Amino acid sequence: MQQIKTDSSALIVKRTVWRKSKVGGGVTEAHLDQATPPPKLSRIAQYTRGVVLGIVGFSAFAVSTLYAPQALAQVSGEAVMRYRVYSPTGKRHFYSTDKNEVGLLPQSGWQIEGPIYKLLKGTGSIDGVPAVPLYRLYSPILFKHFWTTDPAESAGLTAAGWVAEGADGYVSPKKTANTVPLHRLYLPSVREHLWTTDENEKTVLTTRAGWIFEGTIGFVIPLSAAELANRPPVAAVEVSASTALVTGASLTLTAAVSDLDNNVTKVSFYDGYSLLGTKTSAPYVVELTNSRFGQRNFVAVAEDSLGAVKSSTVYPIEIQPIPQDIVRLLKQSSFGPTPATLQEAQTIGAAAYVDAQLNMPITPYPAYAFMPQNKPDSCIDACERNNYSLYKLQNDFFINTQTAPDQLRQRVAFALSQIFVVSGNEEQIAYANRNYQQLLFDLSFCNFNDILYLVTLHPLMGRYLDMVNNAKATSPTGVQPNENYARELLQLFSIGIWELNQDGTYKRGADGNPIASYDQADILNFSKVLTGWTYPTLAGSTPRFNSPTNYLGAMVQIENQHDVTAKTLLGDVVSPAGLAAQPDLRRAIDNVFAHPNVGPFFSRQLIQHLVTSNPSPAYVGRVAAVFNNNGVGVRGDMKATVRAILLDAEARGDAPADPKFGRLREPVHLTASFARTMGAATDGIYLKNVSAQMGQNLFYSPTVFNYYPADYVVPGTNLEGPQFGIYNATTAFTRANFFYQMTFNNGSNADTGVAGSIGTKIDMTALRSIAGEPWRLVDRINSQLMFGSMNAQMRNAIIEAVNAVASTDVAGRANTALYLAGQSMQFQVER
Amino acid sequence: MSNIIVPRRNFLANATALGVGGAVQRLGLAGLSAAAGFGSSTAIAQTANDYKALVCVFLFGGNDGNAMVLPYDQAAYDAYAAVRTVASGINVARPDAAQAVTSNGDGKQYFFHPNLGAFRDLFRIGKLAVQSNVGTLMEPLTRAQYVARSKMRPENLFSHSDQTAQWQSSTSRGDILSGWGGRIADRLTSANGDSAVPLSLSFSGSQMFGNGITTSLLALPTNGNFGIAGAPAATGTPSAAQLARMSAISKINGFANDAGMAGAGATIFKRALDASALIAPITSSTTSAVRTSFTGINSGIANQLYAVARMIEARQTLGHKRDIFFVSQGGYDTHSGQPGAHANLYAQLGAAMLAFYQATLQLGVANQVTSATMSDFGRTFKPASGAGTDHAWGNHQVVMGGAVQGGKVYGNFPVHALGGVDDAGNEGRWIPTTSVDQFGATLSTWFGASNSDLDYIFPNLNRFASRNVGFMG
Repeated sequence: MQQIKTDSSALIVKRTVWRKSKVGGGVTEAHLDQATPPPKLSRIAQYTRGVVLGIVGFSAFAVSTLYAPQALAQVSGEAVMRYRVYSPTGKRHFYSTDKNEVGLLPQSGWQIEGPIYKLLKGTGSIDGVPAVPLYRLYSPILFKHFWTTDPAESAGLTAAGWVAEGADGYVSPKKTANTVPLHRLYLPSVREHLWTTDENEKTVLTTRAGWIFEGTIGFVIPLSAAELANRPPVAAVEVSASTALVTGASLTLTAAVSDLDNNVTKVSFYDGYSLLGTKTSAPYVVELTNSRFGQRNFVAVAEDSLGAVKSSTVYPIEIQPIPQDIVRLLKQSSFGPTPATLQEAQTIGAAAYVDAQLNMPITPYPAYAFMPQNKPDSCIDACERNNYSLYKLQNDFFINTQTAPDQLRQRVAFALSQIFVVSGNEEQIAYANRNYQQLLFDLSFCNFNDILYLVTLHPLMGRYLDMVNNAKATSPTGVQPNENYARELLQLFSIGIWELNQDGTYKRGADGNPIASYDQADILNFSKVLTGWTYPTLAGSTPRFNSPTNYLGAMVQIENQHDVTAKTLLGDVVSPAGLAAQPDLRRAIDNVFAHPNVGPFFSRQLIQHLVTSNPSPAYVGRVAAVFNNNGVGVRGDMKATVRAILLDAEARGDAPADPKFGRLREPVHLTASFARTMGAATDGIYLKNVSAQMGQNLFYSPTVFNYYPADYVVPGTNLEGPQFGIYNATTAFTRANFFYQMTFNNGSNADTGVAGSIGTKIDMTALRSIAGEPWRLVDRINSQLMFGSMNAQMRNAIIEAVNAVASTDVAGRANTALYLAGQSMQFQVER
Repeated sequence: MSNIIVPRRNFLANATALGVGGAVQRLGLAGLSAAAGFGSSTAIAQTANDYKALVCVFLFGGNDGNAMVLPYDQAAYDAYAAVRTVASGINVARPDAAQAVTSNGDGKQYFFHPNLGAFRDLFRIGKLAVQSNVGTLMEPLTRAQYVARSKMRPENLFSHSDQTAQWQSSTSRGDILSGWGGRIADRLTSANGDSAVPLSLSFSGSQMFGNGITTSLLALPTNGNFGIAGAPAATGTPSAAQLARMSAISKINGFANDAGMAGAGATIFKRALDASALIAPITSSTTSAVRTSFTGINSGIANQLYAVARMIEARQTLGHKRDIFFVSQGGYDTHSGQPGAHANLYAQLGAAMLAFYQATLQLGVANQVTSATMSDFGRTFKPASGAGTDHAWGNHQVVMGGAVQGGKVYGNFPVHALGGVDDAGNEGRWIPTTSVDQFGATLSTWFGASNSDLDYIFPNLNRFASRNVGFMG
């Protein structure tokens, strides 16, 4: 049944209709309202039933015979009360057997006059007479309702554009011993009907106010004496909150309910017209968590055992949006803001929040069993999938993005995994990759020098970039030391190809050209340093070069394969001849770490991963300064560096000043953050699969240059946008279609072949529940997904698209709205 | 190592001279006049038969051309085997005489890697040529000049990202803003009328090669749908809800109204949407006349070349008279374990390219389609620890097609000597004797580029003696 239109636009139209009537009929508002004894049925009803609430005053029409006690009608079927409500502004009555509907109307200015008689809810008979339907119709043009028992009249109105809303109930078609007539009156001047069982009212209106009696449309059951004597409850609602009234706040709604008859049976809590919860016994309290920002209008509706319904007055609250600065902080430091993290950061402030994150315990990957390099024949299916591919590691990663409390570490480690790249394309034995990614967790907030050194010695990196089993030259013309790790260590992991100023801009030579930060001779020297290392010795084996593949622990040195000649390192620093493998490596890593490029080179990339693709040189410079010296003389302090990145003025504030600020969410981040922000339930499987389709198969980078280049420039622009390296026509569709899958296709089902799989799904119930009103639906998504950042153009476009979906298709409407918001570049680009 | 997406020099350094203005500035007069609409392209004859396609087969990671094409003559082979010894683990054995091929002209004998029998056969029938020792150059350069730094070197030699960008852009110093395939498209795009599908297409994601200054490539999937889920079907009446949703997508993304990242993403998205109706039926079709040529081969490179063949098959649907395609095969960064890697990669590559040539025969366009390999760089002639090779420079490429003057090894095959005349150092990093500009200009001329087009496409071409190195006749 369609809820009566009570929004403000409808009221305005009603007034318009009313004024038209005035012109045509010559009846003034004052005349009807006050000049003659006002036919205020509300007063009659209230008076006659002894109600103590609302308007109590003189009525010229207090008639005691109307509801004279009668014997109970013999009813087969359920009898329900019919309520009458009155709109003083619309000068119109409305009738309903729906207590919920009635209870909500006072918010729009209607007054509940109370139950006035009873109908049968469904088919049945009254005093032995089969009951007939009392049809309810609605005109979307006139914004009013009409009731009739005449099927022909109902059909005629429907043909004329009225909407059939079903039967309000069932009435007897003829007079029986225990029923009273229901009359229909009409006032031509205002084109209003009135339905009443009140004989006196009928008489007064028809003789003194110009109403026309149009007949008796049926016979209904009068209220019992007890029901007439019943007094409705009194309800008032109060709201308390334990935190600031910002988005995500937890609220407690308490209804104070009293009833002289002491027969309250139910209290329903509403926010506007949205039911929040019901209680059938005291205390009448509901808890609200994760409240959305915006105006809240809380109402309690109390019912008693004899059918009286009473609304409290509205308790308005303004939930403030979380400051955009806090929202941005959570975008930068986690895989998506949640109500809880927003509340925390809002409460303690950005700096304290970052510090708390920096000092949070690690949420590790689960331990993975060591497995022999050659897969045992017995290891099939789940064993093979979990141990000899990165299937489980990818899932574990995504689960951490959703639930791990140390979100900042998760983000930083993910960034490190995209700088210090290893790839499952080279080696996908799971425990080795798990240990490597865990090492990045462990090192995220340590010292950059440790990252360089320990990553270098990890056997998985050794395997990927050929430092493992890298032998000294056999002879000047024979096999030479492998250059691979030496080159990428310098080019990708530490200093980059050009000499940099502290702000990340190029140093320039006298000819105006940038200066290479190393040359081939440096590569040759470093390739010699990086000789003499092999896989960690397997238990029971003897240390030797070309040791069997094993990723437990760090690589070990085999001195007779280490090049002990002197090497010239960066800055012409000479590492003397005769050094053993480990001290030679230590000197070389320290030499690289000391290079002035490291601060700006690394800081800029980390800024790009966390905050923005095009940081200003000044921003890079400020962070690099902290990298170079954390304030107490330590270089490479990761905590200080991350803190400087997140708390910099260029990252903070309610809105980024530069239109070019921001970063495209890369696939893993896009899928993880959408799921996290929408509170999806996920086992990670679909998220990793769809991310791979978008060009980012997690931990299977195509090359050591990561899934996309750090300095990629978006074609046709002057914007750096690393993630645009994998954003193209094909993946643009894949990305948009991800949101389609998550909405219209209800996400992804559990994989029955995987133990514990739950699929990936968003609970759309709450969105569907408000889909009747497109603007509310879109505002909810704006609040929940985009934290109020949706611009007006986008909001209007989505509302328009939602309106094109039938109002009955609440799922289609919710899907449409969330899909359109997700696929938008406003969401895909994080600012 | 698989395919790398070409990055380029950090833009920040030149933040004031960016965008198209910056690009034009760097291109000099030729570029300026082109951008202003002068010296416009050769008119391409609008006849039904006038169709040409250029296919770039990029071998990511740096293919070791030294292992792809080898000298067969005994003395030359011995020089090879003296460095690439059997003990090094990367020696390719000299096969029997039946495997050797003889180059037209000087009559020298060569042989292809044993897993590249397809190349051998195509070479013999004159449909495949080898361009030897081609690479990135600013200007002609000798070993003495390289060592003395008396002539300009390309920047950042031996770096994957930089050398890949230089190969794809034919720009070896300074900012790299566009690819030479894309610049061909800039000049010849009018041949395709107002087709919603760009001239330059990639089956290997975003690539510098196909992005011009005024045109951009479109990255396509090799199969499956290319469109928006839930969009109205090609036939039937769309629902009001569908139409409203599609309309909202356009409005929301406010296509290109945003100067920042969102606008950049929306522009790419819009181009995809515009091309979707034409492309989707092709990529999602499971039937094609050329399927038989690719029966039984399913490597990534084969799938990409099959997709290229299907695009060519649909050239009239697309309204195209000129197409440039980018496909790739990764895995050539053979620092270690080179022989095993090559065995797989070359077998896939040879089979895929032969199938593609057969497909062009099926379509009757064998003489109108030319494919050329490219790669980051060559690899050190000297072996590296672990049966591998390191990053080097000059390299051999193959060119395949009915219009190719095949059966010949072009250019100057390098002297296989460490520290020799062709070596930049002592590890066998060949200094190229033919530049990417010359290699590309030869292909471009065949494709229909005029002399003035060449100046636009290869601004550095004038530094080299020849604009055409002959393999296209």
